[in-house]
Amino acid sequence: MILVIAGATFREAVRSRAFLGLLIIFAICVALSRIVGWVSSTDGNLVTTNIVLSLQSLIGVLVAVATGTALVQAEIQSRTLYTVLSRPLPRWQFVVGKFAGLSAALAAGQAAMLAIGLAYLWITGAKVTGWLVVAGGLTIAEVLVMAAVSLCWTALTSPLLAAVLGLATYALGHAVASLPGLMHYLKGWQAPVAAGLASLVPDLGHFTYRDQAAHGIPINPGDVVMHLAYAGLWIALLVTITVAVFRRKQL
Amino acid sequence: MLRTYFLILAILALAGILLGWNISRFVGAKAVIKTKELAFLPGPTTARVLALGQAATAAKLRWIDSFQFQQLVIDRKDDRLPDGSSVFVRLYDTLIPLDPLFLPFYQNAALNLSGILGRHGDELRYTGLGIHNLPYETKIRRMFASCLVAFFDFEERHPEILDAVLADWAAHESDANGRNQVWRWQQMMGNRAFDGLEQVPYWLEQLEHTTPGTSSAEFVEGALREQLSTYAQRAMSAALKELPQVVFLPNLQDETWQILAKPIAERIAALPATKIPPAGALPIIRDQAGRWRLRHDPWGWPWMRLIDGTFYPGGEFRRDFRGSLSRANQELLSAVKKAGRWPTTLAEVAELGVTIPAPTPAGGTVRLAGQVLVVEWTDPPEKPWPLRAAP
Repeated sequence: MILVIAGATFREAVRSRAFLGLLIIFAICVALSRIVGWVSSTDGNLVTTNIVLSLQSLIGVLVAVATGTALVQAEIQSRTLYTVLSRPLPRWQFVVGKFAGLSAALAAGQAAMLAIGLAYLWITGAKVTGWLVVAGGLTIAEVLVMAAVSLCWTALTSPLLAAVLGLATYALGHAVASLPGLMHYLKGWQAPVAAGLASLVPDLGHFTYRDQAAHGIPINPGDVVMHLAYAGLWIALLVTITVAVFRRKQL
Repeated sequence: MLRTYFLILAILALAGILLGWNISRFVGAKAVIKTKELAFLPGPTTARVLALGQAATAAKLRWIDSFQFQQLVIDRKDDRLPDGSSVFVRLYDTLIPLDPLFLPFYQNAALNLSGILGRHGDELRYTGLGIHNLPYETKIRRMFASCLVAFFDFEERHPEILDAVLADWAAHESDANGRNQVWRWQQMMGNRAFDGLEQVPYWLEQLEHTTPGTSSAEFVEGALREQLSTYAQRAMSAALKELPQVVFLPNLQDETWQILAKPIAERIAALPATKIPPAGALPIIRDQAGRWRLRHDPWGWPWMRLIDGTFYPGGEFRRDFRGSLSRANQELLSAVKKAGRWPTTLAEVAELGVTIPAPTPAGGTVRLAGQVLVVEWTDPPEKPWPLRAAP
């Protein structure tokens, strides 16, 4: 049943005009990124590569937050949720199926963005290496974590607030990546409190290999596995929280 | 049906108007006066937090945005804030930790801090940091070593340290060709023994890192031409001493002055082979018949003769004039603030009490372009001396 729901969610997402529209916006932004490369007083290749990889992450996260917060809410508004839940279907299966379908759609969108970005870089003469693909893969993991964050916030609050909290979590997630370097400024009880609070949000610094990849700096396969495992654990935790909340929710 | 056509027509018309409106901003667009300040820049850690995981991209965009400030510093030769701190130091201290592997940050820091502001210690600091972050990058090694030799005289004062620096450079080159580059560099630096041309290899090095037509490139080219001109002035003055029969003439366009070419050539020919500057740096050139002829100054303008008998390059005179005009523009801005209106003609500029520098050197026309006084030059009579190696 999970696969059926996931398949339906995936088909619905990739057939939506918003999905195609965002891909087109991404393609336009990627094409314009070359202009920044031109004005950079360099050959522009590295600058363009950085921007393309950043666009994949930023647009991907925006899509993840927007769709993650609307995922269940849209079903409630269109009342299709009641039809589905009136069948002998546990609520957890519904949530997991919806998230799996959304994740598959987001991953497909991200893969398309990565392919467009790398093709553009290759056409414009920038160096395209396998490391960029690895960096793109880690960005997909980042986007999926953010989709799970948004889904979880939706279960706890209203969709609008969930979107705001989702974006705030994204900012915090990158901010906490810099925190270990600042710990020596904290004294006594401040350090464990800061570390404890910072550990409550996903450390999105795990997925920022893109900056090194643009320079062709290799990454250990072990590190990639670790980063993906980190993403997997956060997704599992957030989806489980969502299921727990959704089971008790009065719909 | 009519309604649909009407809507499509309205959409097309509105889209056309807006597209035209947007495009009109680019038609005839001129460079904006570059007065952007960078008084606020976050520290490296704050910048990383604000970058939201896009550190390298944020660093590039921040860097590109700082180009306008760089133009301002080129004009006024100062990057200090009222509290005495250096904006450039703050800028590169922010940018480099965000993307420590981006070579142009180090090159740009060296050019701005050392080349333009003359703070060579800062150049050493940033190129040293560059060596730490990019140990196999030949360009950074060259800049570091050039700075040690050109500004800190390490060849004389600390030859053993310079040898160690060069040995470390050679050790980080991946192949024999790379290691040969170290010795070629040493050879090039050895060619600095000509009066007035000591820093030419350093500036040629800087020129390589600039893009033709940019303000940085213009600045470096200006510095090079100044040094070539100093050498030429000395050579011409020395030759003149051997020709007491030469009478005062206001400039050197006259054929009479070609009489100087021969003694200059003879004096240069008498130098030891290792002391003869490259032909491109000489104020004389052989014509098609093989005779030595005096060239115009490195900017391509005729030499001028000052009342005290010394020579002065016409190109530099024009450059100085442009500097005076820049000061007049600052006066204009203050005057406009007081008067509460912008002048529309040069006469109105003068009425506001702004002193327009005069006389304008030959070939130049001063005019008011929008809200700025500008000078436009005709092409110089000769091509400026080529500085970049032919591609």
